[in-house]
Amino acid sequence: MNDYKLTILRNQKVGEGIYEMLLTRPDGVEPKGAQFIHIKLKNKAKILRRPFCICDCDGEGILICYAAVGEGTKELAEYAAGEEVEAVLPLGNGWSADGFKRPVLLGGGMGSAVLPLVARLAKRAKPVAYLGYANAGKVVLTERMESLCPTVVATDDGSFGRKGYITDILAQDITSGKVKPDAIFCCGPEIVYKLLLKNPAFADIPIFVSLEKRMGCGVGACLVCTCGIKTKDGVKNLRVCADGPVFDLREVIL
Amino acid sequence: MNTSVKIAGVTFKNPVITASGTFGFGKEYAEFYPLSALGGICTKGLTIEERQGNPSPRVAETPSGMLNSVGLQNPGVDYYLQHYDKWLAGQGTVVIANIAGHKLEDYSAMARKISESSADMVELNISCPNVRSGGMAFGVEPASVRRVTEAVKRACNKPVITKLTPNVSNIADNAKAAEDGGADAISLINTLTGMAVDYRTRRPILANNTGGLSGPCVKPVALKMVWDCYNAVKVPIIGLGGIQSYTDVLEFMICGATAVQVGTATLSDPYAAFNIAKDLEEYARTNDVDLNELIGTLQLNG
Ligand SMILES: Cc1cc2nc3c(=O)[nH]c(=O)nc-3n(C[C@H](O)[C@H](O)[C@H](O)COP(=O)(O)OP(=O)(O)OC[C@H]3O[C@@H](n4cnc5c(N)ncnc54)[C@H](O)[C@@H]3O)c2cc1C
Ligand SMILES: Cc1cc2nc3c(=O)[nH]c(=O)nc-3n(C[C@H](O)[C@H](O)[C@H](O)COP(=O)(O)O)c2cc1C
Ligand code: FES
Repeated sequence: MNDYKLTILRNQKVGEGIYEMLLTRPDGVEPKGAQFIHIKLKNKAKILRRPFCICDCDGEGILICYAAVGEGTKELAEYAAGEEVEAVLPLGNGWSADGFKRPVLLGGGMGSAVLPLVARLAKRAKPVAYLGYANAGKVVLTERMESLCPTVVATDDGSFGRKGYITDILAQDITSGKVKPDAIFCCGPEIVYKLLLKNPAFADIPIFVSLEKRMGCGVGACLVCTCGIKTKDGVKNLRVCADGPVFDLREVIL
Repeated sequence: MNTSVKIAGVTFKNPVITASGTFGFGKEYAEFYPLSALGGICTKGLTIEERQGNPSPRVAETPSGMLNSVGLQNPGVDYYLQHYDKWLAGQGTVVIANIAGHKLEDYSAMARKISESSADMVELNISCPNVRSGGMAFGVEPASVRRVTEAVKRACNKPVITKLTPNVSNIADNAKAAEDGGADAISLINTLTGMAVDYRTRRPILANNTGGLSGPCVKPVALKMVWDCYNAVKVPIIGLGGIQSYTDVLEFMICGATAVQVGTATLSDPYAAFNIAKDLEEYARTNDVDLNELIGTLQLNG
């Protein structure tokens, strides 16, 4: 982990309000799946860096995929190829699919951005991806995922792929025996986590989630990013940046 | 040229100290650079018992600043003594243990614990609510500032720095009260109370509703307060609030600070304190100055 100056190789719109930014990979940096990058904005009035998961990393460079939701990400969308950004990476502990045989990689909306690198780095595991989006305009990264592992895509309104909530679709496929995951790795809005906990189809499956919390330092020093986690010593406020960002969903206080 | 400064008999190789709560116990940043490059480091606020702090969100970005409501989450002083004390002592920099409490006895008990540690100095965070006076912070009333400082001085064999809160009517009175209570130095400012609101949800962004403002936006407030205190007390002053560059450090020293602390800047840039210390040294060398000569040299406009 270090603070690097990275050159933007491309930064382009890939969906409604969604962008992919490809950055040069510093020598020797080998990010693990579900690690993240902390990018400094050029507007000096915005003093906090913005965290994004390392979506993919290959010979091309380091990819992030982000939604322009607020002032910082809108500023990021304006940056042009050839410009430099300052970023600390790789941060967080990451997650490897290789602890399991047939894990399902479940993405809800922008949460899908964490999955390509996890799929790419799976050596022994044979993951299957389930990606859910609100509508066709929000569908991103599906081709990349399809090139890495079998992938099921759905939209809430049926405008692309199968129709319905991705958790329902996965539950159907588990119940029908189409997939038999020995773990689920998930990133998505909180509602997805609540549905995973509620649906009996997932009751016996370990579920790991990559959490998002507002961050300060990103490296474990300031304690602003904590989340309540059940531990053997009771509930502790652990640091999402340094103790996570991946936790066992059943231990997370949502 | 000279960049070293002395406070209560403790020598700092340069005046740059990391501020409490923004640097953990140093381990995270030791992966970026050797901590020996710093004048000193100040630990996260320690309490007698482990504390889990406030619910999240605990941070909100504000124009050129941020609010935090961490709520003194820390592993407790015993854990600190077992896991960090020795390691910190070996880092080649001055170690300041920052302590907090909710009763006067907490501070005395903490002071005794820190007396047994390898820390070089102790800093009192008196911005915490006092449970015995309806939750008003220890640092608000001058009489209470004096009492806490005295209690710690009695129980502690290390130099004591009283860290003043800016959320008061006249900070110079509190500086004086700390000095009268026996403080060997004072540091200021702690964070300014504030709130960030989401107009859509009509709710504060912080789960705790209010938080402490820090970062470049507080620098003008901090500079004025350092100057006010410099004119009120004789003990050395450690200035902080929004420092981002070596020129900010020079400004604080001109207003009367002997040393400074760098807080929020480290969140923006992990190398902030390291770079500021390096740039200061470069400044002192190129201009052949002893930084001590700058302290309190502000000339007011006629
Ligand atoms: C580990 C991690 C990985 C992430 N990965 C991605 C990703 O791959 N793609 C993507 O689109 N988004 C991702 N996010 C969310 C992304 O960081 C926020 O959308 C972004 O910070 C919003 O910044 P803003 O200035 O546009 O929004 P504003 O609302 O203006 O931001 C204000 C402040 O709140 C913080 N903030 C706002 N929303 C979030 C959020 N959801 N999570 C954390 N901080 C937030 C900002 O960082 C900033 O400090 C990730 C968050 C975390 C913690
Ligand atoms: C995340 C965070 C945590 C903090 N925790 C403490 C603390 O535990 N004890 C303390 O005395 N001050 C604490 N502070 C206050 C800082 O030490 C400092 O006084 C303040 O942030 C102003 O300086 P700055 O603008 O350089 O950050 C904290 C500040 C921040 C941003
Ligand atoms: S963001 Fe500072 S500890 Fe996690």
